[in-house]
Amino acid sequence: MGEEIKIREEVNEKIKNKIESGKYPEEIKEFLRKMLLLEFEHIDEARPRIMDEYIDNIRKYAGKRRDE
Amino acid sequence: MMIDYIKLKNYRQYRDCKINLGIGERGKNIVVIEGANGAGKTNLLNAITWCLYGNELHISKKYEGLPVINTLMLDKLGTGEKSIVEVEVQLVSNDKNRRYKIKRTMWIQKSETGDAEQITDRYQSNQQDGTKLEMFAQIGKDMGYYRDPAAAIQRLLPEKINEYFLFDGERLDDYFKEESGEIIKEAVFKISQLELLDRMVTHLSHAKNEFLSSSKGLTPEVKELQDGKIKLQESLEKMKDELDKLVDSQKVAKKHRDKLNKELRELSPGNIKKLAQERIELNTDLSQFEVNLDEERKGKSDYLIDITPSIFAYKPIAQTLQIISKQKEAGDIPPNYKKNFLEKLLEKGVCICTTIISKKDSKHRKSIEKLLQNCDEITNISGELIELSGELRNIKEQISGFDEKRINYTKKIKDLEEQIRRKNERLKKIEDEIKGCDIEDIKRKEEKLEEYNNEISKVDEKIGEKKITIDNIKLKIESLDEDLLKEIKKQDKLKELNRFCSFCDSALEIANEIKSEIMEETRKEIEKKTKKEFFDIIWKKETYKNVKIDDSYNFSVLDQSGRESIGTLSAGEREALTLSFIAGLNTVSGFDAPMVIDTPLARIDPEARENIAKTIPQYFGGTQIILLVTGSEYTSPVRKELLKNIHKEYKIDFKEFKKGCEAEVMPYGK
Repeated sequence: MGEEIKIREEVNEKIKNKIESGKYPEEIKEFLRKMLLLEFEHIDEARPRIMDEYIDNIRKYAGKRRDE
Repeated sequence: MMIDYIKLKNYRQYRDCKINLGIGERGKNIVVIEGANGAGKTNLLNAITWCLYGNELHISKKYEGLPVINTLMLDKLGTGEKSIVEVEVQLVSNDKNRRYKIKRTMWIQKSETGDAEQITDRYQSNQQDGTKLEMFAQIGKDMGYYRDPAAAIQRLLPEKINEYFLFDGERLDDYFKEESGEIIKEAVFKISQLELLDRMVTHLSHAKNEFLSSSKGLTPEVKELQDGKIKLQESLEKMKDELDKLVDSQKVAKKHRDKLNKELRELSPGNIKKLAQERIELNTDLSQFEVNLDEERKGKSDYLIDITPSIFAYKPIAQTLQIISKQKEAGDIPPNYKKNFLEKLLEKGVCICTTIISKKDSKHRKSIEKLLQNCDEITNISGELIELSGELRNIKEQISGFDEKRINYTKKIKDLEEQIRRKNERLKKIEDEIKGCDIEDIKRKEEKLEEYNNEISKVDEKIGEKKITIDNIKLKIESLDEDLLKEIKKQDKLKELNRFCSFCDSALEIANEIKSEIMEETRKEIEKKTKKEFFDIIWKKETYKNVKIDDSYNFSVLDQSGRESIGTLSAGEREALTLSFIAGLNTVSGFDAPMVIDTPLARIDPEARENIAKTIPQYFGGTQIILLVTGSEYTSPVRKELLKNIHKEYKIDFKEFKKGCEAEVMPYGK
C-alpha cells in the first residue's frame, strides 16, 4: 500500500511563480513561500490550528527585515 | 488526465465488467460507447460519480428508488446473505507520471422481505454513507495512499463542477443558469488553489489583530482606540453572521426554486397547460359539433318525412301536370267564358251582339243562361286545376332537388361525425398524455416558484445592504488601525510591535495582490480561450460578435448589434459554448479532467450534429473524450467525422430478464 501521500509538489506553479517573480522584499517572499506550504499541508482542514506558526514566523521574518 | 479503466461489480445493470478506455497512439483520444436508450450509458456516468463522490448525479427516474446492486445478483442471494457493489476508476495523467486508483465499495444484505439493505462494515467503511472509499496513487516512483481520499478527489476533480467534465447532453438547460457563475468561480478558486492565498490572508489578518491586541492597555490613547476597534469588530462579526444567515436562507430558497424548476421541467407544465387548454377547447367544440349533428340529423329526418309522400306521389303528379298541360294546350283551360261576364250580360239584358235579352223567354237569353250554368262547373274545376298545377309544379321541383338535398344532409352529417371522431381521438390522446398530471399541482408549484423568486430577490437586496454596512465597518476598522499604528509608532517601547504589524500589512498586501492577479488572469484567459473555441467551431459565425465572462463568471454571448443572445442560443450553440468553456477551463486553470459526454448529440438538430462531431476532437487537444451515444446519434456521417480520432469503440449489450437486467460492454463489431 505504501506510505500516506503528502503532495507538496502539487502547489499551483502559478502562485509560486507570482511570488518568485514579484519585486517584493526577499524576507517576505520567503515568509510567503513557507506559509503557502503550511496552508497546503492543512488544506483539508476547515479550521487549521496554525496561528502559532504564523506568529512565530512573522516575528522571525520581521526580525530579519530589521537586521537587513 | 484520462480514465484508464472503469471496473464495475454488481453496479446497476453491470454485474462484472471492466472497460479499458485510455488514449491511443497518435492522439487518438476518443472512446465511443454506443448503447440504446436504457441500456446503461448514463449509468456508466453514474458509476463514475458514485465512485468519486458517493452520489449518482445523473440517475434517471427509471432507476430512482431501485437498489444500487444488480437486481439479478440480489435475486440470487439468500435471505441474510451479503454481497458487495464496487466501482473502481483508474485515472492516469497524460504524461503517465501520475496514476490514481479510486475505489468505492458498498455492502448489501438481502432482507427477509427480499429487499437490498445497505449495511456498514465495522472494520472497513470509512465514509459517512457507510461505503468504503480508497484512493491510491503512484506519483513518479512514489506509491502511497490518501488519508482523506474524498478531499483528495475534490482537489483533483471537484464535484461542484462535475457537470463540466461529466457532461450530460440531456441537461443542456442546466448550464449557464443564474447561480452557475458563483459555482464556477468557486471551482476555479479551488482548482487554481487560490484558497491557499485566501486562507493565508485570513491568518495574517488574525495575526495582526493578535499583535495589536497585545498592545492593549499600554497607553490611554491606545486603549481608547483598541476599545473602539473591539466594538467595531463585534459589530462586524454580528453583521457577518447576519450576512451568512441571509446567504444561507437565499441558498435554501434557490435550492427549493431549482427543485421546483426541475419538477416543473419534468412535468413540462408549458406543454401540459397547452394540452389542458386544448382539452377545454376540444370539449367546447365537441359539444357544439354534437348539437350541430343533432340538428342536421333532425333536419334530414324532417325533410325525409316531408318529402316522402311527394316522392311516392311523383308519378300521379307528373301525369296530372301532363294532363293539365294538355288541357291548356287544347284551350280547355282556362274556360272560354267567364262566369261574371255572362252574369253581367244577363243583368244588363243586352248581349254583346246588341240583341236584347231582357225578356225571360227570349231564345238568346236562354242560351246565355245555359252557358252560365255550364260555365259555373268549368270555372270551378279550371280554377282548381290552375291552383293545383302550381302546387304540383312546386312539389315536382322539390322532388327534383331531393337527391342533392339528401346528399347535402348526408355529407354534412358525415363531416360532423368525422370531425367528432377526430376530436374524440385527439381528446383521448391528450387524456392519455396528461393522465397522472395534476394541473392544480402544477399551478401550486408555479405559485410557489413565484414566491421563491420574490424571496430570493428580497434577500438579494438585504444582502447588498448588509455588504455595504460590512464594508463601511471594515473601512472604519482600517482607519482605526492606522490611528492605532500611528499611536504605537509614537512610543519607543512599541516599536517591535509596530514592526510585526507592518510586516503583516506588507504580506497581506502581496497575498491579496497575487490572488487578484491570478484570479483576473485566469478569468481573462478562460474568456479568451472560450471565445476562440466558440468562434472556431460555431457554424453561424456571422451571427455572433463576442463571448464575455464577467468577474462573477457569468457568461454573455453578444450578437452583431451587441445584444445579449445567451437566452436565444439553440441547443447546438449552447453545447458549443459549454464545450468551449470546458476547453478553456481545462487549458487555463490547470484543471486536468477527462471528458465524459453522455448523449452529446441527442438534442441537436441533424445539421448541427455533424458540425459538433467535426469539432469535438479539436476542442480538447489531447484530452480524453468518452462519448456515450445512442445508435441514432452515432450515424455514419458522425462516425466518419470522428473516426480518425477514435481510440476504441464499444457497444453495450443489454439483456432484460424477468427478475432484472444485465449489460456488458463489448468491443464494436463483436
